[in-house]
Amino acid sequence: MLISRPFGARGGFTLVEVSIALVLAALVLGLVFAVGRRLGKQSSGEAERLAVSEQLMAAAEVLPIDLRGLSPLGGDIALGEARDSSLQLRQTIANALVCSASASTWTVAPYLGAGGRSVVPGVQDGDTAWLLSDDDAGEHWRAVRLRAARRAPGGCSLVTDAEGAKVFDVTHQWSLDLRDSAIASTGAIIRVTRPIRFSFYRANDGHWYLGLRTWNGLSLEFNGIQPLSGPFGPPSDGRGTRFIYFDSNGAGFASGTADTRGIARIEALLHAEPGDSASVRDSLTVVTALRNRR
Amino acid sequence: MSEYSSARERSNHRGVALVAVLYFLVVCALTIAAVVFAQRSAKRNALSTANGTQLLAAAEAALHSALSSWSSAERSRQAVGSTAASTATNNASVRTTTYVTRLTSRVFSITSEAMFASSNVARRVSLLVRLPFDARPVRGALISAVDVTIGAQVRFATDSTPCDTASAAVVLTPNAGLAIDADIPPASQPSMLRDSIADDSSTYLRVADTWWSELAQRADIRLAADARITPTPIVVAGKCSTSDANWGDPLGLIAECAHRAPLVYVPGDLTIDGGAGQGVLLVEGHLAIAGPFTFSGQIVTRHGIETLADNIAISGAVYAWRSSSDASVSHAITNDVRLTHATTLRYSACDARHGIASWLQPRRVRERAWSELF
Repeated sequence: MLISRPFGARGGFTLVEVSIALVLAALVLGLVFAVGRRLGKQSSGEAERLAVSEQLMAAAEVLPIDLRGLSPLGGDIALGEARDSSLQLRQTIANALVCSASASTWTVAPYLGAGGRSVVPGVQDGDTAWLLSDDDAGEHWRAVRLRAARRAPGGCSLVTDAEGAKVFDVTHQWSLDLRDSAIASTGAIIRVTRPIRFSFYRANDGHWYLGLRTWNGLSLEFNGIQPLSGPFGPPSDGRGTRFIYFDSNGAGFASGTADTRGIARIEALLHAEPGDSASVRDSLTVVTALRNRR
Repeated sequence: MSEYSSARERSNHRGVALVAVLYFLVVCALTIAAVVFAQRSAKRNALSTANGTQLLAAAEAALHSALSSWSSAERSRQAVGSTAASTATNNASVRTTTYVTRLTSRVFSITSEAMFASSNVARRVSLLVRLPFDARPVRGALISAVDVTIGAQVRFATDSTPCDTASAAVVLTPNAGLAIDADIPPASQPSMLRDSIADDSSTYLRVADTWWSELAQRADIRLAADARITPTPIVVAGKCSTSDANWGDPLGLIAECAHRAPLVYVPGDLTIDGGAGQGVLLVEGHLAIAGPFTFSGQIVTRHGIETLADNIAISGAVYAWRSSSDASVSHAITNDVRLTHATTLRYSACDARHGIASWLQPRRVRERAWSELF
């Protein structure tokens, strides 16, 4: 029977035992919490490092895509707009072959993208088509303003074989309506461009970001800036988040140079700062050689 | 020991240690998961970037490889609108495919794609190239700065392919004389144009932006002065011979020699005893054709031409410059063009260009040649 034992004979702990047990428990708990906190901080640091790395990688992925194909001689970098904190340029948004043309409309077959994927030109009012004209005097690119693009039926009679259909999307032709009257010959190549502007800007949260402003062809001004990656260290504090420009001999250009036609290489120095604590910092230099520098 | 006391003891043992161990394990698991996730994510990003860079580099390498291994003769025969494809595997995992599309008579589009064999990840780039302009300001079957005699059996024709159009069958300087056999009725007489451009030495001595002296230095075949030759397509061990007597096959009967179009230079007079050939023939002296002869390309002479046999057919263009810059010398009889036997001269810009194909290398179009395709 359980409760038949007298009270004074009940088993128990002495004060010393309890004290030792409490001290040991406190030590164990303290140790466990210390280790846990440290691991937690490490985990948090890894997350921050990951975030920083992803921000840098995002910039490294995005910038070269628009910079590689720039034609400085063709005026793709706006005069005076190659600054250390911003860069205004023409983004190539479509490449196509002229299959037939009238003075006001061109029917084109876009180049197929990587893996043979169809590409929708996405032309807007105000975009510029650069038409390659080739005559006895030589070749030159003529700028023609576009109004709109719409799907066009039929095939491209210029592309005569199956191999050509792996280069040009002859089954998805587009009609480009022109703002300016222009004659294009069959077999001519066009490149469609639209202005964009990269900027390092300070957002409402007080941090600096790399942002992009796209062109609005109707209002003829840039849309509001949209962040691409960041936060980065401020451009002005000497740590150097900025754009730098070089010519083909490696000589640098001053910010805002008027000689943008000589730019052959663009470097973006990115110094990432993840947040207020700034406990994790990383940097990346994105070097882009302009393929159409000649 | 009673059941009560043993239950109490078990309860006391369970207390803090279990909670502490569980907390520790959870924190460890979360930390390890976070670290592994971060590492894997970073690795994935790095791998994606590295793969993209590798593919882009492979595509660009294939693009420039196509340009450096450009076969001018082959490309000159490629029809406008057609595409030639080639595939290569530069290592075990990356396969590149290059497409060369002829857009116009002078402009080509080279498109290269690099793709991993094990996935659909790919990069595609394109380059526009243009053949150098053959800056001939006048177009005709015969352009002459010296006097021309045309016999009754001489016929002029124009290429039916849409390469170019002739200004006239015969283009002469304002001072050059033209004698047409009286037996040729007026309606059948060749069209004639007098143009001061035909009096310009660059019209004759500059081919595709290259001057005569440089052409002479880089000639594929250099014959001796006063040579006699019967050019014939020659195949040795299944390959087109590069001997001096082989000027390629303009008729396309021998496939191995269809693309051979040499630049032939003769520092003096030359007699052709018949045969066939194609390319560019530069003769410092007098050219005599003394047997049935078929030629496709360009012929330039500096001391006149004469035909001494029937069945001579030349497709492309024939240029007759005078040896001296003094226009009065052009009337010396040995400098004349004397076409007196059954001869057909056909103006063909295609054949004229094909004649210079062996050394005509393209260059990239200015400003916007390169493009990445997404």
